[in-house]
Amino acid sequence: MGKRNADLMTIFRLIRNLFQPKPLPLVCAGLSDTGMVRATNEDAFAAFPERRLFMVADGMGGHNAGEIASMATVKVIGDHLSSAILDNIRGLGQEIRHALIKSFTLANELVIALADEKEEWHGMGCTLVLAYLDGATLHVCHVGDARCYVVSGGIIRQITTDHTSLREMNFEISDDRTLNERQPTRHVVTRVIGYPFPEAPEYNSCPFTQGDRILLCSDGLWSMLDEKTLQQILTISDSPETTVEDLVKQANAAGGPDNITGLAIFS
Amino acid sequence: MEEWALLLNNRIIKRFTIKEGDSLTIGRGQDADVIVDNTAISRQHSTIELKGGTYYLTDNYSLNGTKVNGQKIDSSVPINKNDVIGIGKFTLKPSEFLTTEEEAESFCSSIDGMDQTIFVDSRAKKKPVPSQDLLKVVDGSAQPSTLELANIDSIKVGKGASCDIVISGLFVAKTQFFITRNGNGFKVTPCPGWRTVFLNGDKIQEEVSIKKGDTIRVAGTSLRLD
Repeated sequence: MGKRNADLMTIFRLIRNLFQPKPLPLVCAGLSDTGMVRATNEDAFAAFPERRLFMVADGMGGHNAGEIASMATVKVIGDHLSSAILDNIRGLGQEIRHALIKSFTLANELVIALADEKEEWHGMGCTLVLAYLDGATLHVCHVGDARCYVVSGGIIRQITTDHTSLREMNFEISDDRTLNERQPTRHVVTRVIGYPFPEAPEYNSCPFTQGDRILLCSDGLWSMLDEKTLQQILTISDSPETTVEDLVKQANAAGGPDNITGLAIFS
Repeated sequence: MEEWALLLNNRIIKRFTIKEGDSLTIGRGQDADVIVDNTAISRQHSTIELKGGTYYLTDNYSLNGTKVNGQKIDSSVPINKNDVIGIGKFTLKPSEFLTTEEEAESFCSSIDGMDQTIFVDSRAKKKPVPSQDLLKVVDGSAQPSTLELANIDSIKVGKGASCDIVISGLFVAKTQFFITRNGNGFKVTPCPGWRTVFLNGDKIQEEVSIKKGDTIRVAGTSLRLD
């Protein structure tokens, strides 16, 4: 009976998949740069275009532990969200949300456990943004201040909200500064991989259509360039490769005080 | 060598160490020794020194002032470790005087002055805020009958083997509903299916927040958030 049910489910899935809209063809490119100031690069990114799964992580922690955190995170999530798991939940929005959040919980448990293994790894962690394309829907899950932008019809939109205490604390503005003045800033992030989540990883979804473009990036990139520049580069570039090259170049030209990572996905 | 901490609203923002002979500036500027990214802190707001075993604090003509025990200082003054020190809106104190609540509330980094992103204090991680949230089966049958929700951000409830709580019943869906952490509480999200999800006796068809004491029922099984 059990085998018969499994066979029926397989047939059901095959039939369901036949009626799924054909996935939009994608091209992607990622680039990670140490920047102009840092000695090492603690960012990591991963792209699994056949699974339509993409991630950028920005590691933090002394003694290069941030690199361990970010790489372990993208690896464990990449391994966990296998084709089998993703095929099983295709078209099921709530299941996808649950699977993405669970994968973040898994990464968090791993990094917390790793941090206890060595003194120099204590306190390590990373921010993380993940994008998963299921048909005509973009699913995004994130913690921290790594961001996801979508450009559609030439207009850029930030999908993620930063989990930083700049929003959560009442900062007083003194006379000689405004909060809009752009310069290298220090962020206090309130949700990261590597520390028990005070709230669940944030999930967002939006439509994704032919011609749309996605950018996943660390704060070392977005904090150096205004949205108008991001929009312009993403709109006029003829490939994801030139997009990320231009973005990194301009972020470095603006000072590059932090590691810079961008992952562009074009449909 | 001694460690000090800067706090804002009882949350540790920054830790740093100072040893005999050190003279450290605290400020917003990139050339400060202890950088505080807050526009209410002047670029070179204050200086803390340790000379001959005594700490000295100086205000460097800051906009919002430096206070010791509520009094603004305008020159270098000796300070005791248990003095109440205000750097603008921040509080400065030796780490040995931090309270348990301040340690637990910390989202602060380690001491590396070059880190651009400040986040987690490894010591605070060792004392996680205990969560006593529990999802308990109060009627019908489900496996497991109790699920602790500490460190769980999303759970799936239904008939499917991959569910975190597996419930039985005629026409119960493979995934009947999700419970997701939402700040200090939770939300329940029902999934479409033959069976209706009830919250405290009321049918629900979209995501709603739940609180302790609420009961979710599907078919003959009821789960309560304790």
